[in-house]
Amino acid sequence: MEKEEIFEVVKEGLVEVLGVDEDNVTMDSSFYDDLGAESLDMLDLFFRIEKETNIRISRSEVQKVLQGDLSEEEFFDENGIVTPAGLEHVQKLLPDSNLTEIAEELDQLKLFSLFTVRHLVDIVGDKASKSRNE
Amino acid sequence: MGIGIDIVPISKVEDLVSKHENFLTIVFTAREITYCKGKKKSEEHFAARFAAKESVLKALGIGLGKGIEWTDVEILSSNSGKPRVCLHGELNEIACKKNVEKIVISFSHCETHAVAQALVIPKTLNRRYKN
Repeated sequence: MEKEEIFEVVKEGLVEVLGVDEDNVTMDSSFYDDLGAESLDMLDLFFRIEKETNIRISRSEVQKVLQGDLSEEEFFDENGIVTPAGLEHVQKLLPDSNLTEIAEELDQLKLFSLFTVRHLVDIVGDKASKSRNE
Repeated sequence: MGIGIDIVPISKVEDLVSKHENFLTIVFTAREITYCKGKKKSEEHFAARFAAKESVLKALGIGLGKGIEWTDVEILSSNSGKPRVCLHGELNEIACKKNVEKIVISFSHCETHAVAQALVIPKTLNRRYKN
């Protein structure tokens, strides 16, 4: 399944779940800040993607993308703010964003607000290619 | 100490339950499903528990991390109706590492929305209260 096809599935799902205009959904749209999705909307979207592609996505996998190979303790400090090591990883995911400005307040909620359509398309694409190779 | 709050539209939960057959088993434990289905307006009880799970995660400040599932936060009700939080798996281990003594939860619901608030009490603070 090509990334373009996956993007169309995600876009269609977002139009149905959130009632957004399809022109407003781009690869760089963030689910929370740009599209206004809440956690139940994300669950709804994941179920719709599964119906269309047979690929199951969990919020835990979203976290895995954002967190990389770092453990919870390595990624968040005792106040729940992303550590410098965590920030380095997130910055690689979002090369065009200047995260140093929000570094001191980058907690779990703000972190999820950085999750974009492109990240989800990549997760589905990676799982699709893995299942093809199995 | 950590605090978390969440609000959920009942209609959204009702919609997910009717459209996606796996929704209940992915999000709720068998005990939660049995409890809510035994109630007259089960969708309100499911929504309240979902809001409660979200508020607990917010209060812990960690979200659904790697290897953590929705069912790792279980909301149980005592005979008196008072809700309590039971953590499982990876999430329970993280809470132990964070020195969590207990999590206090409160929620409410009406025809349209369910709200929940969670308070995480660390061991040091709880000792201070006892003294």
